[in-house]
Amino acid sequence: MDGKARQRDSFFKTLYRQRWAYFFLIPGLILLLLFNILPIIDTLKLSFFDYNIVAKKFCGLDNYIKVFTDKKFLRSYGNTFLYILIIVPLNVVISLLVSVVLSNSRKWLQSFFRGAYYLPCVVGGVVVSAVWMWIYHPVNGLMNTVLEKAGADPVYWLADAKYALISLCVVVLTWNLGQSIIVFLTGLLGINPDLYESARIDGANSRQLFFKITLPLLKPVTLFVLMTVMINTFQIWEVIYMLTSGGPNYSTMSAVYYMYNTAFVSGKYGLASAQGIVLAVTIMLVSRIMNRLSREGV
Amino acid sequence: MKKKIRKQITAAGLAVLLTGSLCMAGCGDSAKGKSQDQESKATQQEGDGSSAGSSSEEPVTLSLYGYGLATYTNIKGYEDQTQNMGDIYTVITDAYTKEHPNVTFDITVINPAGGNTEQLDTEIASGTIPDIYVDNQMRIAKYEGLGLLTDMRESLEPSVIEDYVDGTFSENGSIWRLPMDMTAHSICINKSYFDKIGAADLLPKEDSREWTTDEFLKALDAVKAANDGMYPTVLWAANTSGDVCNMGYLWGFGARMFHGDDQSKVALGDEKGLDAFTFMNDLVQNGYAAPGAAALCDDDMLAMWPKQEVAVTGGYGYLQTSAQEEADSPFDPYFVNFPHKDGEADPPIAVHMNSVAVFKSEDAAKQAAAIDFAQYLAGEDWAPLLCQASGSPSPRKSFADKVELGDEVAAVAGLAAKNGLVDFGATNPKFQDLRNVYTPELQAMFTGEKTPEEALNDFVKNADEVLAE
Repeated sequence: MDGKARQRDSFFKTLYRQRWAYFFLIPGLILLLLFNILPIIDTLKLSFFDYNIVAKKFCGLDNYIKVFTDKKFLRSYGNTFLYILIIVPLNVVISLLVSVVLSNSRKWLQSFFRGAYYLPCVVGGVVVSAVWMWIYHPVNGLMNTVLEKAGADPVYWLADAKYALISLCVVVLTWNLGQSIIVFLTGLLGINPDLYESARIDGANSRQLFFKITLPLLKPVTLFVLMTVMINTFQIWEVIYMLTSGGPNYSTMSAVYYMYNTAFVSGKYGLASAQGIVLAVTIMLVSRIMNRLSREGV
Repeated sequence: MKKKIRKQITAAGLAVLLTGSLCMAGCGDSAKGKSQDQESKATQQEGDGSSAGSSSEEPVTLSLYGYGLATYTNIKGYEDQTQNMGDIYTVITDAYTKEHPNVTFDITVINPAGGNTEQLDTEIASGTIPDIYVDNQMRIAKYEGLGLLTDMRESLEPSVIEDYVDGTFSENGSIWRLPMDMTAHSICINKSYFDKIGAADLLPKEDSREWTTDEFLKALDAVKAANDGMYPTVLWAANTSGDVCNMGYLWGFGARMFHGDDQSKVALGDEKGLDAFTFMNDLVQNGYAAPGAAALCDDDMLAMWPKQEVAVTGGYGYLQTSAQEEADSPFDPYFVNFPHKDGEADPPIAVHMNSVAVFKSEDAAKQAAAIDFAQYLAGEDWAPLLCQASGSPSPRKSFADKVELGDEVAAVAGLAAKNGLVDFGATNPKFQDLRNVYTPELQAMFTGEKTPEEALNDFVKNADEVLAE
């Protein structure tokens, strides 16, 4: 028996041995096929068509050429990376620090803050954005009222291209921080307290405990948080829809929001599919790099 | 061992059930689809030969998409039932069903937040074309451009067509929408406030209701000087909603969106267009407009006006109702034309119409019922009430007596009759796309990212590309 045949034989043996496991996976696999695989294939197919609400015509690579020559799309693509560069590190650092502080606090305090931080995740991006709309409002906003009372000049958070993107990042952070905190807290609870105790006996101070024990042992959790926050940030949409519609002058437009506009406002579904494919390939590449890093690092 | 086998059987059963239920769900849908198909075919057979589906006893369910129009709330006589945007569609369809028990409706209200029609477009793209669509003709026009709307000319009595004000429909062209009301845009002034600060003499006289840009700025200066928290004016560009109000400043400079009937290119890119853009930008940069224009939308204006936070704004008839009936402290509104540059006196008025359109359908019974409903909605039972609610004149001459217009709305209607109407592209199928490239340029200008010249040139370039597509 050659190598290939042996491999095939072993594959079927495994399949047979795990037959019940695979059998139970069937419903899940059907759902995956229906709601993920088929739409992806369909999107790929659509990206080669000039397809509006009512007409569909094959156009080869035209949509991809448009994607890479459309300055507005490239700007929104760049904005997406800006969102990632700002939101991901801040999310990880803040949620890690909050979790460490909470893990050392009393149980009731821990429960209270866990709930408080997680509440925005439960109510959702639309509600959180509606609250922030009132906070940032240029005429009657809470933020400017506070600034005014403090004698400072008002800042037009969403109306000024300099501040708009940062302002949206703050909204996203308040909304998705809770999830990361919960994950970090769970990770912290999994660290064996004996490690801290023996380190303390050896004379380690709090900083050493954090950097030499907590941080290294939380590495897999940190990478998980990094990955999920990054992918969520790639797909940033509702906060932009609610607060700026991508403005002023495309300064807060993300790639996904631009894609949404191309499809559902301009009705260019083929072009939007091409934009979606470009974005999906980008996410895959970045995730692959992160995966590689995580395997090397852990 | 037995226990293990029992467990395996139970688990296998569960998996089969799950898989089965998935298949059943699919079968269920297809079965449902089949029965709907059969039903629709049967209806079509029954409907063939009948002039109006509503007159046939065959049950017909019409799918109605209605834009959530803020002005169609608190309808006189139905105040309790029309508190929310879109409630009016239920009231009207219920009344129609009472008269035609075989016709029922499936209503979807489109969220107006972003000023677009994503929800309807998605439905159409996925093959679910509704029967009736109620919205502003600016948004309806897109579907006419895509060839989706029915020409109702054949179904209308000639007397009905003649009853609409001149220019509503092109002479022999398709009648793809029936307008219910006519929104004319003007400058709306809080007259009570100007009386209070002793600056009412700076406003245009009642017999002309026209003013120059210098006179306009003098009035705004008086508000600024009062320094009591009132914003002289407000401009907005966060999204496309209500953008026609601010376009009013263009016409007073002699700028026009198109060269006459030629709508293949925009005509704004001339000196007049630049003057108008510069004027709007100066209003923002020189502190006349409420701060943050690039992040404000017409909803902000609609909220500021009854709270008396803004003295002068581009607006429409609804602001009269809002000032007198919705404000905590009612005040006197005063409507005049947009300011004009010297030499460009009596600028024309921009008008757009909320209308009802019928999508093409192969189901003759549905099509006939939908057209019948459209005529009912745009007819004497409802259109005058809708005009009343939105504070707009009726586009039908015979309804003029049925609509009690406030003095200010009547005055603007008089201005429109005197100065004529401006064609800003409301019935151009690409108008929605034009708005989507207009707004970002205003944002760029208001935030100082672009000069008025750059913003205008970029708009003209992008708009021409959109029109050429």
